[in-house]
Amino acid sequence: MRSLAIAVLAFLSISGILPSIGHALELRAPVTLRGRVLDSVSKETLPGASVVLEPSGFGRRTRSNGEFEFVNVESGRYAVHVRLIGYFEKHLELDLTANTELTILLVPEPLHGSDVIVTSKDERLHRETYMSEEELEAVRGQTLGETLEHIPGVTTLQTGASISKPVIRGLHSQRVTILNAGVAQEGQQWGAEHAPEVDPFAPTVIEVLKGASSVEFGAGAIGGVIRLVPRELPTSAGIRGSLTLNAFSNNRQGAGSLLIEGGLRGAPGFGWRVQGSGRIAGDSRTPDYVLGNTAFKEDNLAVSSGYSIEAGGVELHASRFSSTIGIFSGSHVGNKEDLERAIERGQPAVSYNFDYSIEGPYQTVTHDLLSLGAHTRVFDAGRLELHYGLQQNDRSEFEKQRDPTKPARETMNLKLLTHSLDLKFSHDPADGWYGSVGVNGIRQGNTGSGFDVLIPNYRLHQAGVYALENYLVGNLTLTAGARFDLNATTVYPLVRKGIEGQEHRFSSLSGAVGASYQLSSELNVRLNAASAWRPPSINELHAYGVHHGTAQFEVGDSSLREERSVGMDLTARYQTASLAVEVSTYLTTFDGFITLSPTRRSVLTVNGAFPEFKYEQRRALLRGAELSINYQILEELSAHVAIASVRGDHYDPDQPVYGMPPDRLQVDLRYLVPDLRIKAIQHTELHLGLQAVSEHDNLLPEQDLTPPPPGYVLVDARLSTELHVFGGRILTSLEVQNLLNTTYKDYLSRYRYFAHDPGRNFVARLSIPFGS
Amino acid sequence: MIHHTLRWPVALLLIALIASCDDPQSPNPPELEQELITHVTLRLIDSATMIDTAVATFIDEDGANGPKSPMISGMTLASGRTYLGSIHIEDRSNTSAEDISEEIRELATQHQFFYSITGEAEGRVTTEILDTDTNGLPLGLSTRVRVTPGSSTQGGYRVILSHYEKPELKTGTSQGESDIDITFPITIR
Repeated sequence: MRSLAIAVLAFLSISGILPSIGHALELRAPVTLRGRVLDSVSKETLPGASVVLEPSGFGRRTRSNGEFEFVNVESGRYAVHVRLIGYFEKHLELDLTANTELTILLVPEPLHGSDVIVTSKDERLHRETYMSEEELEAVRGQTLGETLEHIPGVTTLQTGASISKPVIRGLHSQRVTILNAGVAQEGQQWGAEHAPEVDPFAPTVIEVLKGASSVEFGAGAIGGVIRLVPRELPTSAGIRGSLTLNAFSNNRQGAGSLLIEGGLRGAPGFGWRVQGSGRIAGDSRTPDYVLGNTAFKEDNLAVSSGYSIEAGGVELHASRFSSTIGIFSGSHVGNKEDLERAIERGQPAVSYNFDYSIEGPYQTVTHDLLSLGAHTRVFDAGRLELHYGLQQNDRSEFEKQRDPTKPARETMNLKLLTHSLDLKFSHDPADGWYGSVGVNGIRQGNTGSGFDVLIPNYRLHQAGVYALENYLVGNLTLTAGARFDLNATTVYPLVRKGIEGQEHRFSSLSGAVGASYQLSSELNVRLNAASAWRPPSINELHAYGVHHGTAQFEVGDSSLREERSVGMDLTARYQTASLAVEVSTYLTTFDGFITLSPTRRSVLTVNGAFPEFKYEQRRALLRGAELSINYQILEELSAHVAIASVRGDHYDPDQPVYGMPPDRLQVDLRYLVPDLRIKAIQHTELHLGLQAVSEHDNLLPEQDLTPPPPGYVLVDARLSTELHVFGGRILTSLEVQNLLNTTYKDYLSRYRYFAHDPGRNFVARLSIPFGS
Repeated sequence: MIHHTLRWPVALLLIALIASCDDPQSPNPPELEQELITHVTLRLIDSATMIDTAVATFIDEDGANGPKSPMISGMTLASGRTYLGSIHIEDRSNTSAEDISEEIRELATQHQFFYSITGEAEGRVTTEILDTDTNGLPLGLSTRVRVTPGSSTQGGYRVILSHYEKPELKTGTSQGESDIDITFPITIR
């Protein structure tokens, strides 16, 4: 923590100096700038692109027809920055002396062929329609996972309302990289009940790259990448911000976030932001009973500052995520027979009373992140980007004591400290060629204490180098990339668990090739192939102990080798003014897929014999398909349908891969209520959603403790509107999740052996933007 | 040439690097105190002579998640005899040994022992619980064990300690979370 404090101080003092470098601007008569943003390949219009005019700092998002407008701008010399996820950034310089019209072409980033871009869980409806940031504000969930979970191909591994882990096409944890503010999040991802440490209120856009994206993002991205891109900092003077309040009825949760941002007068290009949020939740409830001890609370603070001019910029970001999460009392069992009894009951034996208190077992997690980003043009040939990240993840787990009047006892503490450095150079597009090269390095140390510590102490060094090049010719874009990674881990002895000191070294190549072809103005086809790998993680190498949620004795294998995949992905997208259809299909083979398998031995303990499960490597084949349809039925009415399915199988012997998500169907209807001619109420929208999840059918009975739960259908509804009162705007929405109060168990819920999923949940959201 | 805007970040980077080079790597982490059941001793005294004693022990010094396997030693009971039984549970993993049976006695309304016989000896031994909690429900720290007369045989004497999240869950017959589940080998002569 000391280090973080020093860095923040340094940052604040330097930030104060930076603005003095700013340029003065000559002011003349006002002019209007209009324009359109188009995809350079398909020539389709791009809604939702951010267009920022420097140094004025004015920003616009392109509307549904791709157009934007700046009215009454002082004439003068400007830089225009255009950004949209999935596209390379575009920077133009402009002498605005008269009214001007512009057409801006954005070059797609084709290697991320299967991008799904979300700015909220409802963005899927809005890929073709304009959506303001305020609208995003109105649909935010309790966790990052909840915000992501409706994207086709993305599901979440749930451990109660508070812990949700994103699963991309059946893969999660060490197989998915989360990039937060340009830095790969290094949390304690050892368990399925360890959720990403990210504030759901953080002002970011979220990008999900499905499938291996290892060339740019390293070995961890074998299953995909979730990229949290902080919203751009203001670049002009004035203070603005927003206050957001959320309330959830199911666990009587209150949550709020205050964001204040601004620039400095006389220092165009300089911007800062402070954002804090908190939430307090009580126990969740199923339709029939309270889930005891599932209360949680969270406090987050983030400070960012940056300076940006046309030649480059710097941005510094410091944040703290801190949470205390109760673990459902009924999910802790003493031994296998207890578990069998719990499964037979299917719901807790005790009837719990609702409260906000968090007792053992519970966990506390603090994640501190300091990230520094800088970019500049170099040699007049391209853009150089640097990201340094320093993060500390501190996790403690607590168990209740035999004597319930005594406070819970800390049984384990893990501290993970990570330095990471990324350097990337993107050369300017020339003759249809564009691309980048990069290096990155990680230094990581983990220290643990406690009798039940999951993993030994270790020190890890990792280095990678990559190159990625695209070639655009006519309607065809070709992509190729390669990467080399080196990973060295020193494991320190953990005598109590019989783990000896040892070194692990892994190194390998990853590669990707892709092609994107625009067959007609409506139809685009993309084909990508990628080979990726990841080293076994420390828990897969060295786990040793009983897991009290599954009554399994888990044993690592220090002789595991790397896991390698080769995959292909084919996507076709058809788009007209009122209809967009996207079909994806993929196939990935794994050599040495690491999985926890029963050994048919048992381990004797004071609590009886536990079945032993060991991390093993098997060949595996994962394949699946996703379909997404957006249809504008009427001007006011639109429909969205998404279907996702994934299957996984091992070979020799043939056996399904454990834990693949069941098939999912999502249908949404959105009705834009026509203008009521009441000035105080605007942009009223009604939304009805239906989610159907099938029963998981690809599993042998001996692979799980209980047959998968039956499929289920959930309905939710939302009404959102914008109130114009007291000279300001208030964005509100009221949502009912699980409208029919359906009793169900989700296959990906870790509590499914012991209890049902939560019942009906009313969610009220309020957001008040203020300032200039 | 690198633009001057990069000077500050580089300076800052150095500050951050210097300030944060204290990440720890001690190979022997400090311990947190933890309740482990390392020693379970079952002691049966012949109720007639009050001299002849049969003792069965379970020892797992490094706890359930340690690499050492538990050591279990069984006992020999005499056919046709009646014994008074007591069970003693300890945690010797911390610096000072902790008497967990004493704690169980204090929290009697949230604990109960279950005794049963497995294997060939099934039906030859009955265990009667002599102590009760404040609600009048059996506890099981002290027992009377009867061995019915018959031929020599072998089997297992199974001890389960159930721990109840709330006293309401203890009914005298229902089982809670198993804190102990040990089967001691026995021989009847």
